[in-house]
Amino acid sequence: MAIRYLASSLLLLSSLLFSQVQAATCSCAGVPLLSAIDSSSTEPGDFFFNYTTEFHEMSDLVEGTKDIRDESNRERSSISQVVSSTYGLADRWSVSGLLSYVEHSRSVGTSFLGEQGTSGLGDAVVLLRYTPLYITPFSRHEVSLGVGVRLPVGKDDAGGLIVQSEDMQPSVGAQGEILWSSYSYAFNQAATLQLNLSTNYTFNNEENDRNYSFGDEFNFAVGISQSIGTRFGYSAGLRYRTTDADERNSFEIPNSGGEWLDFVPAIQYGVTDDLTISLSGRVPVARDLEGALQFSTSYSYAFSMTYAL
Amino acid sequence: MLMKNRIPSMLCFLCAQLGLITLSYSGIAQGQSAHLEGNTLILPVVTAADKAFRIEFSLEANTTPLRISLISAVELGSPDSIDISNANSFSGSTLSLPDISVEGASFRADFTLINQDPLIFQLVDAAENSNSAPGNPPNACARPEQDLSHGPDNPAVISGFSVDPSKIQDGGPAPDGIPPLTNPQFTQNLELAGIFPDSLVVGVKVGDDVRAYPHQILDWHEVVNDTFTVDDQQQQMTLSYCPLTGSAMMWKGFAQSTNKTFGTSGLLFNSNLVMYDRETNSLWSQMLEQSIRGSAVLDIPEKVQVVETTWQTWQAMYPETILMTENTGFSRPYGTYPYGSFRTDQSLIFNVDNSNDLRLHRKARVLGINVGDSSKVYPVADFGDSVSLIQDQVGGMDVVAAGSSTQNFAVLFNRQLEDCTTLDFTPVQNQLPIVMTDNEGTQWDVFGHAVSGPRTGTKLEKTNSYIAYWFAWTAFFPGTEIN
Repeated sequence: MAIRYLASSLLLLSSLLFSQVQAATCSCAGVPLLSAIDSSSTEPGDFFFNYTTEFHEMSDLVEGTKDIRDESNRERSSISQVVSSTYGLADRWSVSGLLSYVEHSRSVGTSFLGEQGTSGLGDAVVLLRYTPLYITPFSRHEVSLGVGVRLPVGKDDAGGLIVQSEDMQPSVGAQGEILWSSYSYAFNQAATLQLNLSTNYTFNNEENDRNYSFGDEFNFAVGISQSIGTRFGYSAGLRYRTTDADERNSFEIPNSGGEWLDFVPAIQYGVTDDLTISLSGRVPVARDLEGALQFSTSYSYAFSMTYAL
Repeated sequence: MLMKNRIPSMLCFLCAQLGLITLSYSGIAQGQSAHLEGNTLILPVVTAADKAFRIEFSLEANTTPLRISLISAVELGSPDSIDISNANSFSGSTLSLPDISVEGASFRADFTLINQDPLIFQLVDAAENSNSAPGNPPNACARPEQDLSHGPDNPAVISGFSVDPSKIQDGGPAPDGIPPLTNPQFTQNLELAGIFPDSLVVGVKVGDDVRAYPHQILDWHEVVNDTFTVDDQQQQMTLSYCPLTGSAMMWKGFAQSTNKTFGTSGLLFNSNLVMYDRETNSLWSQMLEQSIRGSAVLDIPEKVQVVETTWQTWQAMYPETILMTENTGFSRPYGTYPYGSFRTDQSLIFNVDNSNDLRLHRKARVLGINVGDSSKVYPVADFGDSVSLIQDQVGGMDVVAAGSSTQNFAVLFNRQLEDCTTLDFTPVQNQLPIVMTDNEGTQWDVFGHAVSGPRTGTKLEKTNSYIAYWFAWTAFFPGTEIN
C-alpha cells in the first residue's frame, strides 16, 4: 500500500506538471486545465479533490524564435482557479471533472488608458480514463489512456458593450475533444524515482459565436520525479507544445500558432496521508512562433493541493 | 490721395518681393467672394486705384480686433477687363470686403491699414449681410456641400455610442499595445533609408514641409503624432494608417482640443482602426472620420490631405522630401509585414459588414468618395500606366480623379470652383507633381494646388475621399458604385 501511495503521489505530481489543455487565451496557453486533473491511478471508489491556482505572465514579445524588446511596459497576465475531482469508477477506470474560473488583465504602461480586465467562469473538462497497467511491486510500468471533452460552459463575451478579444475571454466558447495518455516507469521497486511521459491532443473544430476557433493543440512532456522520504517529492521536466494557427471563418489568423518548449520544475509535500500540496513553475526554454510577432509566456507559477477521500 | 496712389505700387512692390508673377488678366470672369481656407483669407479680386489684384492674407492668431497680414498678392491687370461688381476694394487706408463667406453665411467687413511693412490690417467693422442664408453661400451655384465626415448624417447616440457597439471589436493588443509614435525622426539621407522604390508611403505637404511616412513603419505603429511649423507656429498633426483596411489620414485634432494627439485604442470598427484622443479619451473611427464614443462623440476632425504612393513616385514628385526613419525608439521587425498574406489574399481577420460584396477583390485598393447619399470608388489599378484622369459627377458634385496604376497614386478633387466655374482637365505627363492642366491654362499638382497659369495660388477643393481596401469601403458604405 505504501508503494502504491508513493507511486500515486508521484504520478499526481507529474500530472500537475506535464499536461496542459488550453483554455481561452492566446497561443501561449494561459490557463492550465488538464494539468489540474491528477493522473494517479485510482482504485474503485477512490475520490480525489484538487484545487490549483496559477499565475501566468504573458508579456514577452517574440518574433519567430527571437525575443523582442518591448519599450511600452506591457503587462499581460492571467490568474486561474481550477477545481477538479477524480473518482474511481471501477477497476482500471476513472472519471475526472474540472471547472475553472479565470481572470485576465492587460495594460500598456505608456498608454493614457488604464488596465483592462475580464473575469468569469471558464471552461469545464470531463475526462474518462482507462489504466491497463499499474506500477506495483511486480510491474514498473504504468500506462493510462483517456478521452475527454472540453465544454464551453463559461463566459466568452466578457468586456461589456465591446466584447474583448478571444484571448481575454475566460472561456473558449466552443467545444473541444481531447485525447490523453500517460506512461510512467519506476526505476526501483519502491517506485521512488520515476520517468514520466505524457501527451494530449485537443481538437478545436468548432467556432465560437464570433466565428473564431483556436488551433488544434498537441502537448508532450517528459520528466523525472523522485520522492524523498515519505512526504517530500520533486520533479523536473520539459514540456513541448505546438498549436495550429487560430482561424476565423476558416481564414487563418496571422501571428497565432507555433511551438514552445518549457522547463517545468515542481516540489511536493504530503501534509498528511490524504492531503498533498505542491508548488510548480514554468519558464520558457525555446519557442518558434508563427507570424511576425506574438505575445508569449514570460513565466508562470502554481500552487496546488489535492485531498484524497 | 497720396495713400490711394501708393497702394497699387505697394502691392506690386510686395509682388516683386514675394517673387510672384504679375499676370496678364484675360478677362475671364472671376468670383469676387472673399472666403476663408483654414487660416488664410482669400480675396480673389481686390480693386485698388486702376488695378486689380488677387490677395491672400493670414489671420493672426489671438488678435482682438482681428488682424490680417499679407501673404501674397498677384496683379490681375486692369479692372476694366474684369467683372468687378461687388468686388473687394482698397481705398485710402480701408480694405472693404462686401461679401465674405464664412461657414455658409455672408458678411461684410472693413479693415483698416495699421502697418505698411509688413502689410497688416485690423478689423474695424463687420456685420452679417441681410440676404445671407446659413448653409447657402452667397453667389451659390448648385454646388453640393462637402460631407465633413463619412459618418451618418443624423446618427443616434445610444449608450454613448454613435455606432452599434456590438460591431466594435477588440483587436487583441491593449490600448496603445500597438505603440503610437510621437515626433518621430526623419532623414534627408534617402539613399540609406532602407526603403524599396515600390514600397508605399503616405506623403504629406504642409507649406514647404514635405514628409513621407513609410507603410512598413506605419504597419507597426498605426498612429504618428507629429509636429509641423505653420506660420512660425508649431502645429500638432496626427497621421493614422490602418494596415487592416489600407487607409491613411492626417488630422489636425478637433474643435476646442488642446491636446491634439491620439493613441491606438486596440479596437476595430469594421476591421478599421479606432483611435482615442488623449484629451477626452473619446473613441474615433478612422474611416468614418468622426468620434463614435465619449464626450467628443460626433465631433469631426480637421483634415489635411495626404497622398499615398510609392516611394519612387513620391521622390519624383518631391525630391526635397524627408523620410520617417526606423529609429522609432521601438524594436519592431520593420522589414516584415505583420499580417502574413492578408494584404493580397481574400482573408478577413475580423468580421465586417457586407463581406459578401465581391465585385472587386477584397484587397483591391480603391479611391472612394462620399457626397451626400452617393458613394463611388475608383480602383487604383484601373488608372492608366501614365497619369490619367476621370471627370465624373458624384452626388451632384463635379469631380476629377487623377491617378496612375504604375506610379500607384490616385487623388480626387471637386472641379467646380467657388466661383461656380467648372474646369475641364487634361492629364500632364512626366512633370510630377503636376498631374493636370485645365481649359484655362492653369496647371495643378497632386495636392490640387494651381502652380502655374491664371489661377496660380488657388487650390482645388479637396473632396472627402481616401484610399482603402475594397472590403473595408463596402463594409462602411454598402451600395457603393464602382467606376
